[in-house]
Amino acid sequence: MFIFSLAVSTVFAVITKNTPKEQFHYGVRVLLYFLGAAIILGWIMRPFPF
Amino acid sequence: MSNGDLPEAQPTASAETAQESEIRTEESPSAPFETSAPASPDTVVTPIPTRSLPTPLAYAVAASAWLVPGLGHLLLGRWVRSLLLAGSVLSLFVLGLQMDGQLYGWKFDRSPTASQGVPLQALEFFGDAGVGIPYFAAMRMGMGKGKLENRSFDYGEKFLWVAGLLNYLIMLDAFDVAMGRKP
Repeated sequence: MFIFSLAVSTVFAVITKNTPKEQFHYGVRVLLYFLGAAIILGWIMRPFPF
Repeated sequence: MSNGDLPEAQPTASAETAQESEIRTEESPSAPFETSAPASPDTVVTPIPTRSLPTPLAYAVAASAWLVPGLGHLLLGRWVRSLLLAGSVLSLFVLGLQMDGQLYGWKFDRSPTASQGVPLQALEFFGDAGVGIPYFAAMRMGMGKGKLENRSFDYGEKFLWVAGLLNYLIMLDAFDVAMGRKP
């Protein structure tokens, strides 16, 4: 999950932002969003048996 | 508002406007239409340089970006971006294959016992083929058969699709850079 998030956030950051500083900040933010969303959704789905 | 405020305020505003117009005229005498969007003389806007290629060449760059992930940006001289993009897409593709994900071809399975319907398989082929030459090479080498009994099969499929779809975005970005639409 981390590798997937890292690769996708890297591509998003590189193609949407222009300067390296913007790319770094945006990439880190998207990576954290990915990981946070996965963890939160995982806990939300935990009680469901299906 | 009292009547005595207006005569004091109006000359000040008009004096500032006159000063700004003088400054603007001194800085850019050849740009008379900037009065609609007045810029502060303190604000210095440095445009990021872009360069545009002829349209056929831009299409060639886009095609190369699709065939080999990262090649489009490399041809445009952005080798750091090229390495990052190629590394991301190819790592997703290789990991997808290692996780026994399945690559879908363009010959659709029309048998009635097929687990995948034809329209859905077309979308899967579209996603997989976005990687370009690595996809065709893997298909040629008999990789990407997919093992449904493996737990990682489903994850592998998603890795392969996302690798291809990301490469389509990279291809469009390379085209935009080649056309001079973005730096």
